[in-house]
Amino acid sequence: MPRREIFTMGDIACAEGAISAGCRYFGGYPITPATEIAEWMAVRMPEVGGAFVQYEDEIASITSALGASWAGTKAMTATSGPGASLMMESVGLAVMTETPVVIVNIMRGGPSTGQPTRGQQGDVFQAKWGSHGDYQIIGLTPASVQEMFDLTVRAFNLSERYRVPVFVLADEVVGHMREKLVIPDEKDLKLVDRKMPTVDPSDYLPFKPGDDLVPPMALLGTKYQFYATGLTHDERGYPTDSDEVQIELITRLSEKVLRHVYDIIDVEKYMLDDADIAIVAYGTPSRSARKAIKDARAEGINVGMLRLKSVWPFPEKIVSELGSQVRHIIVPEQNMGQIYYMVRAFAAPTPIHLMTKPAGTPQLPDEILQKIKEVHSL
Amino acid sequence: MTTAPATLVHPMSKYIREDRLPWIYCPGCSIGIATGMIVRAIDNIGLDFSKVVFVSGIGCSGRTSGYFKTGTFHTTHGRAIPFATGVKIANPDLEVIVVAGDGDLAAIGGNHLIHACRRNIDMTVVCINNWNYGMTGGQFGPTTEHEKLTQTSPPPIGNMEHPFNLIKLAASSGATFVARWTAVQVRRGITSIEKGIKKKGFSFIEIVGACPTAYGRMNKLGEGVDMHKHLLEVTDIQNGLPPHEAEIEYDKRIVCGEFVDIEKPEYTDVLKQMHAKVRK
Amino acid sequence: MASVRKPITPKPVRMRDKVLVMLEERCKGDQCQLCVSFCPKNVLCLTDKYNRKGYHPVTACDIDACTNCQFCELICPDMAIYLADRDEAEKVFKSHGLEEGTKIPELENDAAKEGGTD
Repeated sequence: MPRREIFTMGDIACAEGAISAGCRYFGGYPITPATEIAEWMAVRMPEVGGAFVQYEDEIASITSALGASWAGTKAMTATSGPGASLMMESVGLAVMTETPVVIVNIMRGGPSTGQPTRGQQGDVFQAKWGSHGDYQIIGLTPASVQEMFDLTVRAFNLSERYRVPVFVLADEVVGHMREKLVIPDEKDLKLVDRKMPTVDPSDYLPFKPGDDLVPPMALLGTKYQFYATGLTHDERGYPTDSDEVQIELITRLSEKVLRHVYDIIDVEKYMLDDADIAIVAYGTPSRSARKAIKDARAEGINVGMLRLKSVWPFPEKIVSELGSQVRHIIVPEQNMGQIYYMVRAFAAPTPIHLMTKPAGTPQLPDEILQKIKEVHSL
Repeated sequence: MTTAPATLVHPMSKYIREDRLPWIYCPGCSIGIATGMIVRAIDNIGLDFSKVVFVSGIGCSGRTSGYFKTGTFHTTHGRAIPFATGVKIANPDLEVIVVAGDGDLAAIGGNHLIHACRRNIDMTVVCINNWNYGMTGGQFGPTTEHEKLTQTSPPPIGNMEHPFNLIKLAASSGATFVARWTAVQVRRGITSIEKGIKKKGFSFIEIVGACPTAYGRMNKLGEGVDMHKHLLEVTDIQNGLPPHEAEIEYDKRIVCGEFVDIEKPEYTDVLKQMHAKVRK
Repeated sequence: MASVRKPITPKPVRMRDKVLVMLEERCKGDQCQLCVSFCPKNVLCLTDKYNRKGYHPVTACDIDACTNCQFCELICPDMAIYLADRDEAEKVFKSHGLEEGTKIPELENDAAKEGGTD
């Protein structure tokens, strides 16, 4: 399809991004504010020959997406906080069996039922630590309609490349706002597909990693006959309760992601070159921050922003370097402080100032400007 | 003159990961029998085994998927059916078989079971009913009978709850092929599993078995042999009986047979038709 | 004549064209006993020896009574007993190609008889 420009909302941009990335399976369940993704997929999937299935609950949605992925189709699901909580066990299964899948969480007021129609950023930690056990996932945080499209395409590429579930964490404001979206020509999109095995089926070890720590992935129902399980397994896929295998497997699953942070991490540095105060933000508050920075600069304060477009794995080195570069860091979040703690861990001893607003309306530009001036005078 | 084979092998060994024998099942457990039944059904049909995918849940019955020499997947508790649904929709050419226990399918997986029946997605579900949660030590489950003793329904009270009748559940939810056999009716079970696999639609076959180590011991039902002999005695074969009459009571009467065999539009077929409609 | 009596031609004697093969290392013998109990002709019984897992494997005490009904093979939960084609089994048996723990009682009995009294 040729390049198109449309005026649409974030949720729809996300769905279009998935389709452009090659996603042909969507298992979903209606939940405010992610319902539009499911509804758009219900229209578009038949048009592109994919499958949209509305399941009985979120657990079936994510588990069926894993099944579709193993049968060879790029698959995704979309939900919000309450659904993401339900999906956590299957996230663990996806991590353990190294299944590529994309999970979109349009974050809303929480905890529990919260405020379904108001955005918040309270699920960021859950994406990383929601399931039991030690593991790494990738979490991307778009802040505009165009980024909803671009980062969803990126999410599919990363999940296929590293065989790991990727979360797209957008707050409800980004999900429901309407802006111009440019959908590039298919030919101009760079897409990544999972590595397939090339060895003879009788020599195939389903969980033997390549040099990049990612095993080539055979599909279910082909001449490669393998057993995949959520139990701790050796390279053959057979379950074992040995200590050595457990340590090796868990380490590899983490290292697989952490060793490639240079490829995964995505940040925007805005006016940071001469800044002596930095704002670290993501999602909707970063939009307010951008305006506040412009206003502050007009008043002579040297302030800039490190905008996180990926939060997991956390950009430790970049934040640490930022800490040594500036005198103060401000972290505005629409929660009680989540990424704040990560920034504090890595940018210390530089003072980190948290602006919490666990509510639907993000920090307004004036509020952030106020904080900048306060911090500037310290 | 034909050359002598290098050695003798079990006729079903080409379907089994022999490097994982002996299996983890207790001596006298019915799950091994059910595994053999499934394999023989596939052998009789003559399917391309690489196109068969097994998905299983958690529990002793869930361990069966690891023993088949084809693409198999061991999911989380109760989620075998949605996983299998995803596989089937993504690649309708595959033959998808779900093997799971009564607790896995009817308790935590109950919601998925009834919706998959309703959708009539083409897959075969073999439910091995051993009356309790065996792997975790014998707790009561959705098929444990009233007043029976288990780890979580200890004496003097026993089980306060009443069990599901899985045949009635599957049939009223819309499954197009529903059958029940005990582990002792091996040949008839094989025939029903064959029919279920060949049939395009949601097939549910319940294999009633024994758990001598947990359920059998706590309720003084004897060893594996005694429990199987008892199952043979109380079996009442009634093919074609309406499913709402297919009673099951361990002590008195277990109605076995093929109860439902109807035709309904199948999910992946309808999906293909819908695609054609939209793209015209 | 209205009815003609046809001569009775006896049907050929049915031979057992399959032999019983036991895989002793897989058998859970004395703890299981499903094949022993369900054999309609009481062919099978337990041995006294132990296999590697500590079970007494099953053997055939009355192999001549076997009718090849195959029920032992179907009811065994561990794939430890099966029927094999007689000719194939004899070839492998005579060339000593059987794997460890594989026992074919009928052929062993025949070999013992042919070997004379010990």
